[in-house]
Amino acid sequence: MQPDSQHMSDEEIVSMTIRDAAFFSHIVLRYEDKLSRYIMRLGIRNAEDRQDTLQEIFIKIYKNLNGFDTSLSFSSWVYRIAHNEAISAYRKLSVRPEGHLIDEGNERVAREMTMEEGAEKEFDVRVNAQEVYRALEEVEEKYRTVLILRFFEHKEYEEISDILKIPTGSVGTLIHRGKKQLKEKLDTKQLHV
Amino acid sequence: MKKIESQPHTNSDQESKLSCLVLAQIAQDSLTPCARWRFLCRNYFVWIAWAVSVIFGAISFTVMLYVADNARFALYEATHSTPLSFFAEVLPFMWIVAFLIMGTLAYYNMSHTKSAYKYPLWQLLTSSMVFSIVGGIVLHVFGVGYIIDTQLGKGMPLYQSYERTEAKMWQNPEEGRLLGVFSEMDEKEQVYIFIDGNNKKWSIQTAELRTPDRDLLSSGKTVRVLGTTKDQKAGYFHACGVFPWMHNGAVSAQGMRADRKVFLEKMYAHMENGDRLEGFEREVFEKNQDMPFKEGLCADLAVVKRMKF
Repeated sequence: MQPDSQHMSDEEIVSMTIRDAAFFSHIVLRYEDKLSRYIMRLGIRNAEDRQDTLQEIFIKIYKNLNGFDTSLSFSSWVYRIAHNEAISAYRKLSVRPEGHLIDEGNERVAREMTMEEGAEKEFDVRVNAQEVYRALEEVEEKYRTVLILRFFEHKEYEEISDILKIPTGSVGTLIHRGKKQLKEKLDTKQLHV
Repeated sequence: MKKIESQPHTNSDQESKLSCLVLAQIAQDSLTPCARWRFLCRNYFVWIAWAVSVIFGAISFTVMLYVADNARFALYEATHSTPLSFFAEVLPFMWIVAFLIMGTLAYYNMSHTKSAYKYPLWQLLTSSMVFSIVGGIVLHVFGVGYIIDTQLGKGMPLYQSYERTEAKMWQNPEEGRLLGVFSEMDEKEQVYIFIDGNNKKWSIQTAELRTPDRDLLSSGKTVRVLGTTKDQKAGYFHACGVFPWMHNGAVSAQGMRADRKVFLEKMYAHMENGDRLEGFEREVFEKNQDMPFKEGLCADLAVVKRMKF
């Protein structure tokens, strides 16, 4: 009888995959779109490169299934592998982010970013989202990554800490500084509010 | 890359191009998940490496503690001109460096454990150091520092144990210091026959020694003798102070203060005696004439002069 994968947890699918590789397709299906968007935001914009990188990511996930740290959520573990693979692929391909880092339809997210504490209160909610996208491209990589995970992937601080392997306190600091740097970039662009 | 032919547990409508590619590659390359024991071994290896670093750090620290506890700074003027030069000589630099290296290694190993990233650098570094320090203190309580230092000193000619450092400081006839044991009394010459650390025989004059010093000298125990070498070839030594040689246990701060008090009393007594004899000399004899006494030589000791000024 075929198990109903819809109601199965990631961990259950993992243990079934270890016995039968075919179950791994469920993992791929669950994370394909999320990881595709994530690595694109990290800078792998070419569809073919992205497909290759994703394939490498899933192969790596498969090979390391027995090393899955059950103290983490499976999602964080998957994102950690994806992040590392995407960064090395990005460097290998020498791909520079081109055009808009953030895909269309994320205007709401960009607006959310500008509404958060500190740097953002000066901004009107009707901020020009396109300017935010461009400014984010210029933010340092270490800040950009946490900003993407926080505001585009909607990850909690704990999850970001697990994905990037940094202390939770550092996540907060990086987000704060990232937003500050983002504000400076927006200021230099003389963003109209 | 070809697709795998059958996927018994997947829904065909759920299949995606990517999942087909991934499964095809898994089948084609006969990939299997890495064995769990490999991950466990890596994890255990990191922790074992950390434990080894901490243990060696604790050993380094316990020897440092042993040296710190045993450093006989009570008599530092006898061997060095300043406390700084004394500590520069007795500090166990090798063990300090070893402790720092082990601390760094422990930190490095700990930072490679699975959950290390959750903690800031200072916490990882401090925790590794704290384990070594606590371990070092526990080992020190059981006298492990002394055992390691002395055994290494015996077994390795190049290793400078603290006992050897101290012995080197005191076995220095040119500078008026001897380390050794009493052999016999020469009744005819009224001198003590003394065998130093190099098995050289010395005739020690004790005219300026106090009774407790003479008793200690003739006790047969290993002692340190401070004085002046009158004739190194013939082995004549004029003693100004005798001090016990203790290297079997730590000295308390109170004991160290008592040792220092006795040492200072002896040196100030020589100083006063020298002043008294100098005044007497001026009164009775012409200047620059040799003194007719056996006494007064101790007032010319470098340590006495240092303390005078």
